[in-house]
Amino acid sequence: MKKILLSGAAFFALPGMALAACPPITVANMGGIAPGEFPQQYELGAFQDAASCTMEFKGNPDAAALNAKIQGNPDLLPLAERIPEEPLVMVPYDSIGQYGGTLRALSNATEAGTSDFLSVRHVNFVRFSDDLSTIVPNIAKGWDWNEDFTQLTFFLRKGHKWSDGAPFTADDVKFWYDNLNFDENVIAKPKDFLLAGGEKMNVVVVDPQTVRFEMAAPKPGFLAHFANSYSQPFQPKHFLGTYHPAINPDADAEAKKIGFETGYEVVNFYHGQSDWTDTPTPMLRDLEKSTAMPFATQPTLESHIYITDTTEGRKLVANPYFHQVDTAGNQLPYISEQDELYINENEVRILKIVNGEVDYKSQSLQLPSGPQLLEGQEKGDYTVHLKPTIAQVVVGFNITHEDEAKRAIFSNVDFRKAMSVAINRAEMNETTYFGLGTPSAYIGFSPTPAFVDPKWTTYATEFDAAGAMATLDALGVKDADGDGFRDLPSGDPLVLNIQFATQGGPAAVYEFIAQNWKDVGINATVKEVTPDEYRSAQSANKLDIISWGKGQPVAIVLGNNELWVPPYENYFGSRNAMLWVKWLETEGAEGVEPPAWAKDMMDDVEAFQQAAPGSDTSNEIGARMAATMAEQLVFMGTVSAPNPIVHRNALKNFTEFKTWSYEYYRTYPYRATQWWLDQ
Amino acid sequence: MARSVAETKEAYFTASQYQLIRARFRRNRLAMISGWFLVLIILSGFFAPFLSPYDPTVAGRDKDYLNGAPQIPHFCDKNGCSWRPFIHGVEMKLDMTTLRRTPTVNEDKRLYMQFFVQGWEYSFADFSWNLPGDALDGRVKALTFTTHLFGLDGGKLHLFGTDGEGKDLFSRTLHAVWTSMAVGTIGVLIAFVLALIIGGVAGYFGGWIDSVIQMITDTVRTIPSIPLFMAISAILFEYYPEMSSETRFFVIACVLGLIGWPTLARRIRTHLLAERSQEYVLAAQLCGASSSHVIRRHLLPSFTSYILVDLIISFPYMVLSETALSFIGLGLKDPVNSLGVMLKNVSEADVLMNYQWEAIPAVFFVVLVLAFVFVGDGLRDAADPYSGTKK
Amino acid sequence: MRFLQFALMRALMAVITLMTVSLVVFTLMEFVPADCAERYVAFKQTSGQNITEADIQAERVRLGLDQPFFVRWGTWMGNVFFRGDFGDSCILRQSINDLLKDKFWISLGIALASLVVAYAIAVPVGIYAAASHNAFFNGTLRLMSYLGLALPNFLLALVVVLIWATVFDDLLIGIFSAEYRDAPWSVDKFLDFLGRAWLPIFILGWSATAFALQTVRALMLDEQGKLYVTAASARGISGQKLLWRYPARHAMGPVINSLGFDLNRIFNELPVVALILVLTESGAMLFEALARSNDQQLAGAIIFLLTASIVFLNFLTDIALALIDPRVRRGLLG
Repeated sequence: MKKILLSGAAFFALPGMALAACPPITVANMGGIAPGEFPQQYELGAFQDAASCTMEFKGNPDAAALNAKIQGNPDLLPLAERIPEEPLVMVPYDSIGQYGGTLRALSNATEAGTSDFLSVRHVNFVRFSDDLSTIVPNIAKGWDWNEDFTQLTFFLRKGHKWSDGAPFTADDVKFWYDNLNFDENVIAKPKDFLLAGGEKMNVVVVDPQTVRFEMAAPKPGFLAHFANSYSQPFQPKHFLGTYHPAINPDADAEAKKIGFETGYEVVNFYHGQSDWTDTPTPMLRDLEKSTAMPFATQPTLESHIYITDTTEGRKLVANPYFHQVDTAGNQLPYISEQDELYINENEVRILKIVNGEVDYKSQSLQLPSGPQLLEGQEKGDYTVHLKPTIAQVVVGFNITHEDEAKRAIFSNVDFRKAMSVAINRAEMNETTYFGLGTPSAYIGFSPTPAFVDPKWTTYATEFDAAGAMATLDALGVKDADGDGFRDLPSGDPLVLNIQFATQGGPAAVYEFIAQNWKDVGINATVKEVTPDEYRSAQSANKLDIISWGKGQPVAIVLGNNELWVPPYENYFGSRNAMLWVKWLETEGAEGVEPPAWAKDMMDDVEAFQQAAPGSDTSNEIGARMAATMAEQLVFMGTVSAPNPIVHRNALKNFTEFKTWSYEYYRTYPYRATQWWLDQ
Repeated sequence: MARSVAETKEAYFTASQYQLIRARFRRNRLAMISGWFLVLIILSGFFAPFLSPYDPTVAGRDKDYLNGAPQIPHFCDKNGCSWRPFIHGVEMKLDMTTLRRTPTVNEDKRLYMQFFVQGWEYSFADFSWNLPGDALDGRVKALTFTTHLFGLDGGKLHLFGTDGEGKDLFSRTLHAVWTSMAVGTIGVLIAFVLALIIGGVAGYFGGWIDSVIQMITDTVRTIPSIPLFMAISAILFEYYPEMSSETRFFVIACVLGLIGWPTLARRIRTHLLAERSQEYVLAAQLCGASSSHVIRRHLLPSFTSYILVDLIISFPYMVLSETALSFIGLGLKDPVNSLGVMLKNVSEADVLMNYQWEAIPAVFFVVLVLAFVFVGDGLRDAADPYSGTKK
Repeated sequence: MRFLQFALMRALMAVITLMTVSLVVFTLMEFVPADCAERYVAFKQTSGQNITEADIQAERVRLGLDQPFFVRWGTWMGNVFFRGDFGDSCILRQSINDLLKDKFWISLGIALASLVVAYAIAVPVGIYAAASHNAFFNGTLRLMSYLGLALPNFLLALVVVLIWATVFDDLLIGIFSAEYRDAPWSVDKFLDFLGRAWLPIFILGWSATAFALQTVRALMLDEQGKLYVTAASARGISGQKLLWRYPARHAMGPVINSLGFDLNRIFNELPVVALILVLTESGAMLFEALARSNDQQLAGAIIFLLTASIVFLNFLTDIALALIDPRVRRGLLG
């Protein structure tokens, strides 16, 4: 009632305020302005109408100095030309911020444990709002689906510019799709999320501000993909195109001018053959060479851009052409610089945080560090939130192990079940998670959707050491040589070598599991390795045990099938069954044939993505997928427990996150562009 | 008692080398104290299973007393005194705002100490080995007991407190001391045997054999040993992950020995080269003594004392190497407990800030190393034939 | 002329030692698990490619892994000796020269500084202790020195860091503060470096002191017993003066001679201390390469560099000794 009254008052006052400056409203205090079409943000026109005002723009007073730090950037354009004609108006959470400051972040190493910090400056067509269910505009000002979900059109912002001041248009989207992801000189094999019904899409440039994805099969989850994926669907054609032989016939000649053999070499030198935004920049690849190149890193649409890149860390400055403004007309981001430091030791990261040397951190922080983090809150002047995770730590057997004897036993589902019930999850919860977690099975989806039969969420999680030993005996996994540990049926010793990286889960969990397995007579060793080593060993099929966080919300599965198709995730996640992949890739010529359930699940996920979400068909398929995933125990769940999120109290406009998770791309729903530092 | 000066002198000049060394060593108070301490610590290490109330591995954990503080038995409390030492009942509660477990002491509940209690089983001779290849595996077990010096009636007593998993630090420390000593001993022995052979051959024969051996020795000596350990252990444990913890223990000791020999070998060789040209050797050779006779009867006795001293001195370095190796995760691992394994656990800021008692093994380590160094210094001084004349 | 001959001889021996070391290191690194070809191909999979046996074979050929052992060792050594190129790390997919850059020099700097600290303490204390009759003072001095050996350096490092953090609110970890991390070397950067490097230097130096002290003490005791000392004291020179004038000077020869091996000992402890203090220098990199990431090329390069600096220092001390003491020259040439 009150709301209607207030907006009524605004309506009557309209004629007198037509030329007034816009009210600096915040989420905490909307000042009576009606919410727009999407929560916590407006398009400029809509905001001016709602608040009956004309926005005046202001920029970071240090913009020129920051721009000067970006190698290759021309002199700064006037503010009016740096902000799009149609900027996105962000309503800050609590306050209009102040410009300046350096956001200090920690990552593990180059390309390891970086996504948390990458998400801080991340942009995509759209994003999930902080309710984690509403999709709202970002780079795109709007979108449109056709009737049967086979055509998705995005509308871009007029006057939107790359970080070097060059116009951003629909051509940059097509360039990214056709010339990078579908050019095998750049990316050998396109990722599945770029396909619909297994086929390439047709990207149509309707006009400079309109781009349409035309698909061979319905893919209703494609929009959600652009809300949560790290992959940004645009690359600067005006720059990278210069060196791309398909765009510029003189590409190779251009490349020779800056000391490369071919144009593709230059493209790959910048783009890194991956859509991740933390691939080594030219500055890391070859510092000397990079200083002689037009840019030290390719222009971006993100809120910040790299200015240094070493094996110790990276530094960034604000993008002077960023497309967002706050309600008072200040161009975002507020924070001028970012400083990312690489530290691979969990212990040291905690020390840094407790000493107040980090402004924000969630990735890699785990509950076992909780007491230490909580204790330091006052001294370090920061706040800790414990938030539920989406992915839980899982362990899986390498079902296509290189060693045939091991493969035979690992691919036996009874063995996997025995090993799962050998884990005492209740005690694990008590000792390592302070009783804050819930023992749970891995069903692929997280959180558990309503269509899944709840019995699968606890399948084979009830501790039963005696049952496990009985099954192992029955399988012939017995102690043949009398050393106190069970051996393979062939009599050869069986040792599970658990390699893990702390980025994937707390050491205590793996040690606990190893102990549980030893208790039932299976010898297990635990070794910490770097994420880099873990990943390359995993993809080279060298591991016994797969270990990492795993689980995705339905919305993401709709756009991305990777958890359901061998190898069950990408290079950076936990993957398994590398030899099934080989069999599928070579159409049976090499590798190992996947069992029927695995092939069925591949079909299921395809059908699931094409069915209308929430429909009976969709629910039925989804339920079947979860049941198979749980029953086959390709990965065993452990305990889902909350994890800590830390932010310094000087970091303002920080809203409490709903989850501690990668799945919505970490900070992306919570709008890090409107964070500011109180100095 | 009242021996004349002449008698004393007579005793001095006729005393054997060992008697002299012993007499001189006894005069060094610091070395004597250190020596007795070493004996004590070795004994307590040997009798560790008997002295420890609980199994030092995870099997003996007290899961109701994680990160628990040391408990000191007393005789009196507000309710009066007792002839039997007791402690008060403690309950650990998890505080959900800090996620720390805090103890609540129930002063009205007394738990009495008991002596010569029955507990977990141990044996003084239990060796099993699992080398690559089935034929080489085996196990020997003897002298098995279940009696322990003390225990607690209706609860558990942790004299040094517990670690994060609830393992009894007192039991662990005693066992760890023994393991570290054993690793050091095996390491030193292997190094010694190698050094004796290599250094002996080089020193006795000299010439081109000596040059070649010197070249090899110098090369091994040049490569920093910890990086070399790291490389060797990384390789070994990657290829033989099935190695049992006992085998691992043995392998680490061997690796330590295999890398530790060059310094000793060099000393032996130098000494031999020097002694070889002494007149008494020439005299023996002229009398027709064989090489082996000369080495055994004349050369070896001439420097056994030096070698022994060298062994004692290199001992703490072996223990230190084991510690460093375990600290970086390439040495021993649970359930085998060494001081290195235990030190690794305290090298966390959280533990040092909140659970300082977990650093008790570090004190043992420091004292152990110091004792060895002082005994070594004392022995060296005592073995020096001139030191007696000086003072 | 004779001296030149000596120096050349020594240099030749140093080179031979280096070659032998490189063979040992290279052989060891061959055994470190992780097949470079497989790792490279596995990484390529990030861009969507799948691995076939043929791919791995092709990669093996490209990397030269199909060549016989001695050919690969020869190539590796050739590149190291003549081009100063250590090749690429196949785990990090980067040139090792780029990865190491000035990091090795930082390690060497820290280690040499520790060596200076160690002898700055050990020489005076050792000489004094040998002569002093004040048992208590003597004992305390020795206790302090030996504590450096007995206190586990990683624990010591952590304790100092924690105390420093509580008292001064500054974490003494890392090599540089954020401000100078990417800056080129300058006086300010060097001062910034010293502001943090004193801790590892102090810890490594203290622990090296113990061994240095044992050496000095033993040498002094040996020398003291010799006839020329007795002769000198018979001439009426006594006390500290006697000590400094004769035995101390003679004892210095062997001390200088052992400098290279003291550096070796410091390199031993460097990785562990570096790990705790997050010194992103080559010691910590070596640890990570061996213990955590099976990075054989990087580990090999670092071990080789460490060893090479020891060999070089040995060479220098030999030359220095020969300059001072002609007997040494004769000793070598027979």
